[in-house]
Amino acid sequence: MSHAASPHPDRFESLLAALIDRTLDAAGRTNLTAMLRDDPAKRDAYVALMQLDALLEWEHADGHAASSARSRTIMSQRQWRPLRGLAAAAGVLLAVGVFVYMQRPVPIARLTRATASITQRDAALAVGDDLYAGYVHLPEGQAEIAFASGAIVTLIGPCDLDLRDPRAARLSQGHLSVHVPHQAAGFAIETPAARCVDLGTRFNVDVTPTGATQVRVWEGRVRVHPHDVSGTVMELTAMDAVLVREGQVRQWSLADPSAEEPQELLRDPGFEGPGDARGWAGFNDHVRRTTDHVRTGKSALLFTSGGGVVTAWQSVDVHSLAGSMAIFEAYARHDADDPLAADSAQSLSVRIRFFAESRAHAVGRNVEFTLLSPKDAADDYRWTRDVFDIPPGAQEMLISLIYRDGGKSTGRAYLDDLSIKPAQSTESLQRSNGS
Amino acid sequence: MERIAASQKVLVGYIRTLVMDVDDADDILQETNVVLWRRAGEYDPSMKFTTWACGVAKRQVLAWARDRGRDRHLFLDAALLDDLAERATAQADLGEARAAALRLCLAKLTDHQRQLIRQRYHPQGSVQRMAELSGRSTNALSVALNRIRRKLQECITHTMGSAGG
Repeated sequence: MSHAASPHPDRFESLLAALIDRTLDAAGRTNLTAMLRDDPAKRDAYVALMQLDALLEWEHADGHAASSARSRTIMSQRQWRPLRGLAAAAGVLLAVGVFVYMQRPVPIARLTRATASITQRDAALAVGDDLYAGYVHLPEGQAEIAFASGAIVTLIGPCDLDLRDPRAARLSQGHLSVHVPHQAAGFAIETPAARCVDLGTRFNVDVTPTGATQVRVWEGRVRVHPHDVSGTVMELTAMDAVLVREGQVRQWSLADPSAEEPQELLRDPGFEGPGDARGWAGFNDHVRRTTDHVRTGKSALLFTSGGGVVTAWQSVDVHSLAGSMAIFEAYARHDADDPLAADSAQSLSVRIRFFAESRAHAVGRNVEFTLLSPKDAADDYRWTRDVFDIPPGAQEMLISLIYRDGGKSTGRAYLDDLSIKPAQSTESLQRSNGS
Repeated sequence: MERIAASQKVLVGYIRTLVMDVDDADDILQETNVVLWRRAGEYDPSMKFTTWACGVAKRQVLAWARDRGRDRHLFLDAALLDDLAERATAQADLGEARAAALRLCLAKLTDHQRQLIRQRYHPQGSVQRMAELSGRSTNALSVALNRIRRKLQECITHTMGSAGG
């Protein structure tokens, strides 16, 4: 659908009216946005009309507390709502007094532990802080949150958790380990793929950026309600696991002996060689094996500046793993004598891409993890761990190790003990801590 | 505290300008109120309160967009969002005066016009409901309401003099 270079003025008016009267559809919204973008002269009219609409609504909110069809009650998940009508009533002070009383948010949880920075609404949280409804962000490390209901949730970064009320939270992306004592049974974790209701247990939930959800139960019982799979409710008990993605459900047992050994997918993940690291391509003066600052074994991989962007890569056959999750892990560090330049854009990262049939046919979403940046301390190996999806149809997984020197001639980074394993294993994110 | 209460009507308009969807705007207003309440001590009186409150609201809009970017289409690119935010803040600073002017202007409407506005802006009101009750189409009602809104807008500008903007 195209629109004329100079749209008919009435068109803008009618789109605005439709927006304000809630009859505008997605296509109309896209058109309106395009008009605002293309013609700054329209923006003041838009802003003025939106404000007028809000003022009119306020003016007519004559003391109705839980008023319009879309408003929620005071006891809602969000704990409280502004009582718009009261401000219009006689007696501003009375309105203010009631407003303040009713607005007082009730904490639904408390932060009890944190090994790294965790924020809510862009403000850093401190251990002991009361937490209110809303998202908490943990880019890395671990944090523990005790809900008022008694449930204790450990977040393993990177993780975004939406705290809903004392008995519920929504995990949009990341990893949780949940302990729910019996008095808090019924505590629920909602993910894009499923709803997990805890019946007095210990379990882990992992959610990838695409929303695929894996649940592993260590003790007790968890009821899992996958979205998009009508009528299916699974009750998992100790050592059960399930993966829900895009309406499909796969269940397995963590006690299965064949799942005991997580198979490493990478060749020479520790860069031991011999010669140039076996199975990895792309070596030159700027990417090579070294015996300095090794974490395990005899060698690590050393990246040095001077090349702009230098990479090493490896290709892995993932036919049999398409549609499942994998766990990625890596250790990276600065060279303390020549760390990545402060305030620069230097970085060491890994990028994972997927292909079908040939390199020309990319499938799924690229995954990129930053392993090291100038802000990381230069004292020791820094651990990165995350899960990602191997998309359906993937046959080849291409792993690239990327060092960007930001145009600087200084800075050295080490990489060791890289690992990619299928997620269907008994290996617990909870048991393996950050270094 | 009374400043937070007084700024509600202005914040609603500000947030809706940036996110368009009314339900999303309500959620963001709630988040904003929590921050305003908790960080009230940080407000510097040399700045207009509405300017500060709108700044807080804008950060909540950005955080909301980041949180839900995968679930919802973020409709504004950064440049457009910044520009609309600036214009909306300028208008917000005049919010109180506008609200007072609006009351005067509502009194100048015809009875019929005032009734239409009342039906639309009643807490349970909507053009859909008005269409069901009157038999007119939502389109026709929307057009009629917009004419009245335009009239109110002109009246407000006139009442406020050159400061009306």
